[in-house]
Amino acid sequence: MTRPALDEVEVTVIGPSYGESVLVHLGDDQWIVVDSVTRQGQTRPAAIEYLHSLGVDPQHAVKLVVVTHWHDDHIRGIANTVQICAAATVCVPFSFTGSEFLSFLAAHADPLASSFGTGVDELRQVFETMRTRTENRFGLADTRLLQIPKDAVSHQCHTEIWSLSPSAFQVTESLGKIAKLVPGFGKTKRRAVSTTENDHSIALWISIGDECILLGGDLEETPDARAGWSAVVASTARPQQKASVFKVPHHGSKTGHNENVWKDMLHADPQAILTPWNRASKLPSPADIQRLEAWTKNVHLTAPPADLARVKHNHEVEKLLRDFGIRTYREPREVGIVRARKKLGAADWVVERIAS
Amino acid sequence: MTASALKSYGFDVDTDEQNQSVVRRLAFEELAEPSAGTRVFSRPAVATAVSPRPVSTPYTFFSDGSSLRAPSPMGLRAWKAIPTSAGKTFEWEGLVLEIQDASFSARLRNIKGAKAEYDEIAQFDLADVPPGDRDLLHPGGIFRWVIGLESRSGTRQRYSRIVFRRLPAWTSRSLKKSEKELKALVSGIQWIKNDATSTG
Amino acid sequence: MLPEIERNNWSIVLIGSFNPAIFHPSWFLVNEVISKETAEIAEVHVVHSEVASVTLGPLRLDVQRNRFSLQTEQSPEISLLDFVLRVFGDLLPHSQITQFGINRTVYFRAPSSERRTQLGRTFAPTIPWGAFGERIEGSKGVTLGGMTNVSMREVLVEAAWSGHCEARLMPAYEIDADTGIQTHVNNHFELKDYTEGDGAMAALKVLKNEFEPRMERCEEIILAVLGHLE
Repeated sequence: MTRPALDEVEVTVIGPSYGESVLVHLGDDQWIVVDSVTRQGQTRPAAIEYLHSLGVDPQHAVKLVVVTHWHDDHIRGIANTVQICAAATVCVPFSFTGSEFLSFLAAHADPLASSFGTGVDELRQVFETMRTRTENRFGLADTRLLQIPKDAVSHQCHTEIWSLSPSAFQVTESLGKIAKLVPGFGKTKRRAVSTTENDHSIALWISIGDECILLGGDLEETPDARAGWSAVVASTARPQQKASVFKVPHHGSKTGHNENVWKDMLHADPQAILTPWNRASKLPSPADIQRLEAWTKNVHLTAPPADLARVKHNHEVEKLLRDFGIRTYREPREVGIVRARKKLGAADWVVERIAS
Repeated sequence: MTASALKSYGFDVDTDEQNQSVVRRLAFEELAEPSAGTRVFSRPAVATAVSPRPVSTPYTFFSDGSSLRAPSPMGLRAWKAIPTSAGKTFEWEGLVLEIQDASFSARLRNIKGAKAEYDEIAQFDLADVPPGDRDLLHPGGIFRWVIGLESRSGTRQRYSRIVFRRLPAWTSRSLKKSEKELKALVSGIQWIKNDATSTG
Repeated sequence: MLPEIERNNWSIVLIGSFNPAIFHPSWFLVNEVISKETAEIAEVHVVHSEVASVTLGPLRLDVQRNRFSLQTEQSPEISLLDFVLRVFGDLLPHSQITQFGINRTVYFRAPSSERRTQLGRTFAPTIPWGAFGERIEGSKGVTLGGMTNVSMREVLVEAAWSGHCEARLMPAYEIDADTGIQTHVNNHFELKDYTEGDGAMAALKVLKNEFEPRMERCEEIILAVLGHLE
């Protein structure tokens, strides 16, 4: 695989059927990594693997690593990612610093006597690495995380990265909900699992000259306009340009949808990239795809929201499973990647789906 | 544990069948598990369980020079007929993902018999969870799922069993300690003060 | 084809200082070590200040002042570890535990009595025994002799503990007088530098780390023995 040119922007979204990671090339071999996912059976983060495949050294090339939220489909391998990207500033949601979140994390600090781990083991390791770095950031609405003046880059385009969420109100709300997840004394330990709501996910805005990218994380809309996408759209303190690439939030679900995002924050027919979610419920649904296609003709899935593949065991096991009417499935082996590249100043993005 | 020792504690072994059974069971167990540093002891009176017909049972010799007589076959048959895993068993560690009305989904990782480099996903009926374990059925709950053959009094049957793991509980002491450590860790992180001026 | 294992037994044995009187099913229930369902079918054989023996569903517990033994014949055997960690990690962390054993015993049959004899000859050849061995080699019928018990020990030493893995092979007359075989593996651990104030945690830490690897080691040894009867 060839690396992008120095004046070429790249947005790469990695999404097997469970998990997501995004890389953005800002130009001049400078990269950012958002969240982390690993392939089945592998420990090396997929984003790091991708960079190596391009001949890019993540230790020096990655300038910013963002953890958008704590759900395990976004943080598998994040501790390794943060450690490998030694030159990167690490950014975590502001709610990670709240005492309720720390209590929740502390409750899951002791390793479980289970191969599944605590569900949040990696976050503690991320904090440990952050302690060794002098520049760490927290993501909060209307906050600039990174700025590269145009004179510092060969393409001469001013570059900025902003955190659009969570809002202060949202932080308070989500910490209140996390407080309820802190377990009571005397209860049998269990693994921390993601709740269904993404209350404090960071959404990112990236501008490289006139080229803008909106990475929606897993931010969902909420009934309260002080939170979710309504708060983002309504903000006058955020960058007011329009983006031509949109990482669709929350796997294209309707809970991540706000039509004002499409109207006010995106150019017409943006490149909309999304990752699937394959569980008992599957995302995006056909209705979700239909909705997205009404807003843009450029919808790209990193992997099809296909059914999980049935596992075929040996004869002995199959016989037993048949007796009990149980079937087991596995996630697809393929790590889906959608890559969008555009030379600064060019008219169109070149988008391709890479199977690996 | 000898019959005489038990007697010294006030138990009537000679006539009390239940206590005889206890002594036999403990004796057999010592035979089966001469472990954890205890040397197997010679046993004059205990090992010989009451048997309806004389059975010649050999002596067993151990490396420390002690010896004991194996229990007669009647000793084992005196055990209660609880099912015993027989043949090959296949075991997975399971993590509860989502709970629906009558079923739950779980991620599975094979522990025995069908090892793979990937996790599996399966759906189980709620009815498969023993009533006593329902309080442990939460997203994040950890269980073992075992399938195989078991033998009960000579009859074999296939089984599929879900057993939720009663892992150590959260304690006030450990929660407070972890919280203190984590807060100290986070307080040592150096943050850049964010500036919030939009340029666009 | 390997002979099928007809009976399984897994156990954890702790050596230290215990109070048998507390180990009643109701105590386990109140502390959520067992479920209500298990408590309802539990059987108390004896609970006394010197000895306790109770059956808790698939688990059998026998406790004396210096010995705590928990065994099961039903998978999953991890339930033994979870039980011990819960009891001594959460509820009785100050109990003294200086040594412990992780054990597995299996019972199976040789395809024939000749094959069992042959197995005995493999593990305990008669030739080194001189004339005695020759007589045994030539014995048959009611005078058939041979190996009655053989054990092998692997010595284990780590920073925090020392111990051994000892495997024992012997006939299992209770399965079948002519073809029954049992293999017992004892993984024994003794803590180094144990002092009274250490309580249970030092032992539990080792037990937690070693339980599954040691059970895998037991499996490996048992398969090696079974392999001779294929």
